[in-house]
Amino acid sequence: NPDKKVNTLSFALMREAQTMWEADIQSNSDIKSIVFTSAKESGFIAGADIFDISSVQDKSELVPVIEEALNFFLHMKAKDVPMVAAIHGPALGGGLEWALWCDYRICTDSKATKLGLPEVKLGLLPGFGGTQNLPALVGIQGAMDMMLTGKNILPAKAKKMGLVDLVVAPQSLESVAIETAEGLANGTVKKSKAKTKSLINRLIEDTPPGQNLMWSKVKETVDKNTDGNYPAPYEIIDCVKYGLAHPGMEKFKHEREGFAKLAATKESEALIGLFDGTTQMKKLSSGAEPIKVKKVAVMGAGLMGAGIAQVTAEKGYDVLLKDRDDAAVGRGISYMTDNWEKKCKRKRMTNYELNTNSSRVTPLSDHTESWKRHFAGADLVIEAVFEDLALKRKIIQQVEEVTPDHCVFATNTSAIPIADIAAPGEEVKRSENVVGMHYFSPVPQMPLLEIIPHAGTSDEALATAFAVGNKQGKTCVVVKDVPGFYVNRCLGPILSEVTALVKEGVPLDRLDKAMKKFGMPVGPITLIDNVGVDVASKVSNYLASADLGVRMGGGDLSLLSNMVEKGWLGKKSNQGFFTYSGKKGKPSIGPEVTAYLKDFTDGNTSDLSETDIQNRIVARLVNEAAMCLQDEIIENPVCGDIGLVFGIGFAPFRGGVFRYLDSVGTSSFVDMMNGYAETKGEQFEPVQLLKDYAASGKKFHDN
Amino acid sequence: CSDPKIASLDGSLTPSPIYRCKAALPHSTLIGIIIHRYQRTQHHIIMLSSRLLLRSSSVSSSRRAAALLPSSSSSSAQHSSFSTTAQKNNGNKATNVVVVDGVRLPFAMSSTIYEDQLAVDLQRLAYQGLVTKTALNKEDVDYILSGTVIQEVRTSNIAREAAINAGFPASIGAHTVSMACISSSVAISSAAEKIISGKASVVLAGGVETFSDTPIRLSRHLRQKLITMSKAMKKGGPIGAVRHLLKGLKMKDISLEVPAIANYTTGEVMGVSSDKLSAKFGVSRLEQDEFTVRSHSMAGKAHADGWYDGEIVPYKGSTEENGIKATSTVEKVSKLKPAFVKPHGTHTAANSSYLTDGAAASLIMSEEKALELGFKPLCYIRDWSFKACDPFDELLLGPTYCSQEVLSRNNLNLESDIGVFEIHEAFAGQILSNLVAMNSQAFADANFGGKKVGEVDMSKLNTKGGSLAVGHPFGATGSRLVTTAAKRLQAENERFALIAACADGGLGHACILERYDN
Repeated sequence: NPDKKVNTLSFALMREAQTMWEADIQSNSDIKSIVFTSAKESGFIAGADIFDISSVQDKSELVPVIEEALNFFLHMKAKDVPMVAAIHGPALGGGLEWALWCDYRICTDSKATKLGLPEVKLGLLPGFGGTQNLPALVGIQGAMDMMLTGKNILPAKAKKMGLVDLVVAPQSLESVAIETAEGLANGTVKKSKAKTKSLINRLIEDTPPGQNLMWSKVKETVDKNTDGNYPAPYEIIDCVKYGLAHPGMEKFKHEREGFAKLAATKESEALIGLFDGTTQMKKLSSGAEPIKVKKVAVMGAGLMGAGIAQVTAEKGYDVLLKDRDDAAVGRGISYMTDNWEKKCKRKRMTNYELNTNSSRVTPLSDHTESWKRHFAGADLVIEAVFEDLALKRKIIQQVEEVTPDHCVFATNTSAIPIADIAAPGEEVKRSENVVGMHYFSPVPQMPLLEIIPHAGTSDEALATAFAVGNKQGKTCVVVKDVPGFYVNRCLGPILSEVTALVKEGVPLDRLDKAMKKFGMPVGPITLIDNVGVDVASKVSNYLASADLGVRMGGGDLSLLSNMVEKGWLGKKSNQGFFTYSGKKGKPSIGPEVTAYLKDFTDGNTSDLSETDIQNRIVARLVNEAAMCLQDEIIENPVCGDIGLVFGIGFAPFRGGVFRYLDSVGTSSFVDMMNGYAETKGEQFEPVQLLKDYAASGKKFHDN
Repeated sequence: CSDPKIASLDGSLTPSPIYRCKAALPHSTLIGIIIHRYQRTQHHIIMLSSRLLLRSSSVSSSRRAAALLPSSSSSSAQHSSFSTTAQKNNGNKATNVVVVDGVRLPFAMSSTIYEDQLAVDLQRLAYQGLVTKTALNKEDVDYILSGTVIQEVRTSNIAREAAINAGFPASIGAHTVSMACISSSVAISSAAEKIISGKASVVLAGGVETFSDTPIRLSRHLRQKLITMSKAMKKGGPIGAVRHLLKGLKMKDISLEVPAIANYTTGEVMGVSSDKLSAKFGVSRLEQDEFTVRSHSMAGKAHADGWYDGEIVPYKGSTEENGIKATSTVEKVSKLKPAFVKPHGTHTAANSSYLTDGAAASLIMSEEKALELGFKPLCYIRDWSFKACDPFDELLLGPTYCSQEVLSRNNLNLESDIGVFEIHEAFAGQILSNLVAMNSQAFADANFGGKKVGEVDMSKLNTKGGSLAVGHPFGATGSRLVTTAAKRLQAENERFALIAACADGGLGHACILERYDN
């Protein structure tokens, strides 16, 4: 499709290709060899069109469609002329599978070139023969690594593992591909020989005991990484194993049936929903034009500020990083360079990129005489200083004095209303330029960014924050200016419930285990330790005193504040709920904590079931998220889902809270909540929106 | 010679007969007079038959003089009268070169804080630090220079690699200069020459050295073997290659060549040359040690006073220069044994500059451009000299010769006109020998026609510490001298600064700066 920016495989494309093949190629005996390449600058084929998959209601209908496509590949091969794939840019999913059907693969050494089978990330498997052709080409271990992680392979690695036959410069891709195709046809170029496996790999891949060992190892890894919550990796393993045992054509049948089976799973639907949602959220609903941003100033070089500066510089913005003194800025700079050096070591970044990234960041302190001159060129200022209203307003004043009028001022706060920070007055003259940008720590790793306009924020300022956030690689959720915004607001009731559960005497590791089983990346107790007990205590107390009312009730927040007083601040102080001793030692619960908990629970113990733990915590979360939707704090369920999956790691295979409600049924969920409301208190009382959805049977998502 | 007719003939840049006729009068002063005369007797001259020749030569010399000499009205009239006149009457605005700012990375003893860095990284950080300090737009830079001495093979044009990695636009040209310890002085002078000739108006001139990563090489014989190895491999396969490698190889070939701080031609180590020089000029061990302690305590004080704040780019948050021993005493220093000439030599590890890693950078612009971009320059660069002397006899005496040249050419008096001295301290003995030479009538009689360079007022010399204390990264010292002198001109409200430095090969450097009145 010449109108689209990137090539994707679709049902329509497949038919077009078939027609073309029959008309021009099939019976043309002058054609001695074939080169497949892209006429688009964006590159080869970015994958199969997932809308095609979503649009098929009965997923079993996918089987004949895939069969047709596969037969087409077989049909092409049957012409028995050499086929060469000339790859520049992404060859992903179906795109790579197409290349795998070819006799020879050439890719460019460009940074844009990447090869991979990311289907697993959408809860699917490579259905166009990928699970069969890939292991045959690169060996079982390499293929499993690619298919189970969905990771991209870069050109040098691709050549090394035998995924491509040749790596060339983009400038010579076409000519080399044509020459090679001719050479293959007339015999001057030979197909690459299969890589000779090392003895150890032969032992592993080609002997029954070796294979057994390998498969058990693979399964073990998958178990560990998925907690058994994702069916796709298991299906992929099954397809590869089946293929090894069945050399005939039925292995492809087995593969496409597996594909259809996976496509019908809730998990795949949820993952595709998230993928879709992320794509949707790249656009801002207002449609206002952002101002052109070249230089971004970050005030405060702490963990947050330095993280923001890092992701900003990585994307090519000039960054001014300012703090009070050289030492503070120096620490921020070190934080960034350390991160970049780690990337360098892992070959994720070249030394040159490291240098240019760091040279884009200008460290400034109050003692740098030229700081005002620097700020005169800033288009966006992101402030990440202490949570102190007066300080933040003072900074706006300082910045407004030295920046151009168009400069947008973003404040990174989690606990102060943006409206208060932006209130026009002595310090703040350009209130319309003020907007909230709430990052999550650690900034380089956390994919979410909440953008919070206050009532007076101009559309341009909002659009600017959104555009920069997007370019920083963050998924941006626009949320209303309420205490906790969206993510932390939903986290509050969870924290409250956790304290309630602990008070009842539920053991800590049991709590963690239950929620991990539900699909959270870490349990709530570990989460608190990780973000810091002080932070958790501050957030929960702040929200308890805010406008959530009974929805923050039911717990005993002194659990956390007492710990802060004791100096048990979590992982950072080596002592939170768990004791973190040494590098190797697993976190354990020490006698002091046990004693403290005994005191806190008055000696109560509880053997609450895992389901009950999960339900109670999730109910509080779901209720708050629904309340946010009801109050229009978030725009729609898609925002709500993405916010919680990316913000607190809500089980991705469940697709987010609203998709979770859709899948379990809102009405039964409301019934369950009502039950808790009766026994545990009104904090479980479902909000109106949930009751309405339960009554009408309406779904939050259409598909 | 005062006859304009004859003088004008001299304008053809063939000075020898005139020079001989008035040996005591330096050539450039002569040009100054020519111009002066030219203006007054214009009609008279134009009637001369060699008219064309005259005009072209006098215009070019007037430009040169205007560029080199003080032009601002605030300059003391006695020294600037001719150039000012020249400018006014010519109606041709001369390009003044200014130093806008300068920075350095903290200089550090080698194999300490920069142990893991390449020289190119240090230079990059210095360039970057200069941009940070000045808020200069990288796009505004026309050219980038760097001076360095011991080169890392991969970055032989270190200026370019440092510039690219510091994120300067790829379109900016860059080259590297090397002139031993005055390499960045050359970079700065080259920058000035580019600006005067109209090829650039904003130039970054830096310098860098690291001794933490000196190229240690295999023996020459072994190198030859390895270089021709692939040929042998092609011819005789692996066995042939091994045979080729072993053939004629001696035990002594299995050794390494470590670079020494020695002159190639004379084979003499710098410290030995300086020790000899001190003996020649009668500089005692005690004087050297006292001077060393002075340097350290002054550097220590400058750091403590915050003099270097802003100038030193923090490295990992710190601006400490770890070679400065602010508390050293003559008593302690005098206990050290001679390091070069044993046992009677006077040069020790203390009164010689130590191996230093570091980088520096100066921002050089035309006055016009600096003002257009809203900068407040520190000083003008008025003139410079790179004379050389005999490396066998007086390897490190360049500062004396160059100072003499640059002062007399501009008709400046060292004692009455120069308010700031920044003279490179390679060795205490070397700088003190130069000071003696400058003030020696015998030396002046032998070399300068009897006119002494003058006596340097110690209270104006290296008052913020010198290379002995701060350290001496060969390629970077020149830039440090300019920055310190320029800042001192402003802070001490002096008019002229004299910079002087010695270098391997008998090379020398001197430079005149004039305060910029903002």
